[in-house]
Amino acid sequence: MLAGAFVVASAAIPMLGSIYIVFMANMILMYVVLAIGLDILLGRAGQFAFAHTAFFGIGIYATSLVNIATGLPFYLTIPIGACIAGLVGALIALPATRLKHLYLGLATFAFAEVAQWVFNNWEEVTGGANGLRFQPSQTGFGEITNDLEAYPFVLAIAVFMVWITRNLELSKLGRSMEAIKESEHAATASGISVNRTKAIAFTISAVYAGVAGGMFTLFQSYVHPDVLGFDTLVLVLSMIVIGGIGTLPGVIVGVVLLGLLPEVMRGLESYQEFIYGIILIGVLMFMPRGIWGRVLSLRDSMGSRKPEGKITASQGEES
Amino acid sequence: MKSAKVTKSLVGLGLGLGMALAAGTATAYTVGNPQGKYQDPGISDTEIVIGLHAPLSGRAKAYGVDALDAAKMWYKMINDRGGIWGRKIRVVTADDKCSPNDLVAVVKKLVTVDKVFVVHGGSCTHATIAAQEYITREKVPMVMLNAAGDAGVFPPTRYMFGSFGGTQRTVGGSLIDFVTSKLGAKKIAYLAHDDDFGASNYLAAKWAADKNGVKIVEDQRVSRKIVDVTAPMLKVRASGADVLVITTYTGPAALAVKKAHEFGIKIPIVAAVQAVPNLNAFVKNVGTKDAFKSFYYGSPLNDLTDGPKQKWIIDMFKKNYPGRSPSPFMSYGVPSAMAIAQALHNAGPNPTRESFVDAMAALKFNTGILAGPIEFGENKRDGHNASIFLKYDGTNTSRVPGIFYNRMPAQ
Repeated sequence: MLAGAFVVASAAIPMLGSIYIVFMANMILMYVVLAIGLDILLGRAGQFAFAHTAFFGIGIYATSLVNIATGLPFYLTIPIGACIAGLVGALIALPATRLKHLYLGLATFAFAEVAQWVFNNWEEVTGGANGLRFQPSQTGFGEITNDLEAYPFVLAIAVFMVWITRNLELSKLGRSMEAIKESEHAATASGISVNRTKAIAFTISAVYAGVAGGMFTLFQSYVHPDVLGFDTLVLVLSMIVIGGIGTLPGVIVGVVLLGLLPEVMRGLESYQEFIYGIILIGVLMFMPRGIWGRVLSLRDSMGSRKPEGKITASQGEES
Repeated sequence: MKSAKVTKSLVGLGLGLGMALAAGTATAYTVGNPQGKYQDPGISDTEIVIGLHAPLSGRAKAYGVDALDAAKMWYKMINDRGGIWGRKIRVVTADDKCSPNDLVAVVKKLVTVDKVFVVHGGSCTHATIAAQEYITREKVPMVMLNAAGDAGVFPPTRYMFGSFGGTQRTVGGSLIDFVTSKLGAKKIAYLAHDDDFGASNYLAAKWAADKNGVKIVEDQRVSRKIVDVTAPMLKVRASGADVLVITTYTGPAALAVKKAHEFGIKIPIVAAVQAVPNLNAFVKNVGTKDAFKSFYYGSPLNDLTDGPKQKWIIDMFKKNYPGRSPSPFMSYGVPSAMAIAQALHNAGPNPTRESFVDAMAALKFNTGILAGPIEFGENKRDGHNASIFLKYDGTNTSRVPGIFYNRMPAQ
């Protein structure tokens, strides 16, 4: 039923005939991949890390620079960009796995700040504070020159990444991440290599951010380091927390909601910040497991079946 | 087992999606814009639609609100006088938050949903240029509201006009014009930001210094976030410069003026407009009026922000928005609206976007607000190249006679 609605909605977007709507759809699909990547690290592996926008930036710059240098089709440049982001993620993971909680958060935040400094000052490569203009992505048969042409590819990548994530959460690795989040001691006692699993989670999360960066280059033509700052991190964090941290449908719901909300409220000018804040506080107060957590609770209370949420009692009010 | 089921479902979903998308995309390509009497959207027998955007929320709101309202005020005045060629101007406003992603969304909405004839907006250059590729591809004219950075107009592109307040090249070039012609400077110390902003004003300053046969003996670059300028100011003192030019934002500039006073640096200090957006606040940040014995600052306006030559526009704003006191950014919103109205008139009774762009490129007029004329050209998209300078002695502010220009050719 839901899948059918998704097919109809996805097909309807280009038919609406507005580039603005297609652009918003592309943005939301990109945020889906970016947020799922952060959720793997934060919601599933329980790692308090804040370098996600740095990996997103690495993905954007790497993908576009490879495109400029080689003219390779996007189905090669995006994986290259994602691999570079993943490689940097793996390097960061080595020291990061020795840190926990606030210290890990501070260390990864410091890395994000350093990365933004590099984006702002490595002018020969990133364009510095002037930003970087992209060349159109190549398909192998031509160029992607507008949102409409990019949309099918952006959608396909997003669906593919959701499918990968669904398989990941059902895999042994996914369950190891969950175990680490619950208790590192218990996970170790169960024979799980905690540091190795954390490092893999870091790397996978960075790859997702890199893929999202590559998707960005499909439908945007310019990046400025301002886009890769703290504001974007807070937005993505809000998406996963509001939607339902640690749950794939919840993250998607959060992305769609917080992706559309600013557009719906744009006409309210400065009142939108107030209303936005009220909505966030309201959701956090009355739905601490996020919107999806509330949906599951309601379904449970209606007696259909037991809750499936991955949230533990320590993260929510309901045990 | 469960995984296989999920995989099967997703493969089915993918196939369905693929077919639906193919149909959807094909339909979207075949639905064109209906061609009416007019070649371009946003124009009819009775109205012209202008998409006006600026940051109306968030941290950069101060740059946008009054400037946008000032532009609206100008369009209202045009309408009250009968419009342009019998058409009223209808303004559709939007909040771009000074964010590149938001601004692109806003511009795409204005063009494809609101179907405006011309986009008028942007208070932050880095956000505005994010839309440059789109408006160029779609051949939609875009006139920046009060964004004045160099990246929007260098290199010039056909459909984007701007820098009504002057680019950073104008800032750097006119500063050197002033210190050489009025202060007789031969050796200049230069304090700028270590980014594109600093690089752009230094480019024109260096060109003007070389042209005038004077030397920039000390070139210090600092971060926008700097909290202590002791090291660069010690170098300025040691340089033997006979004038200090500051092109940083207001925070570092206030630190530099304060430190110059502490170090007993007696040479004249000349600051760019971005250093002193509000004189009273700047003096308060420096902390002592004794630091202003020989202090000058530039402005792209034709007078002090509350001077007699600015009075007419301030009065007009107050009349249109009773109870509101305009910010120093208000006046910057009007010249771009004047340019659009003028170009719409010059483009004749049946303008197209292309004829409007040609009319914009041919514009040359005085605003009665800015120091110099607005002038574009076939290959020139920065509108304004002049500054005035004001002397502040700790008590009084007076205008230094003359208008000072950036004469560096566009590259």
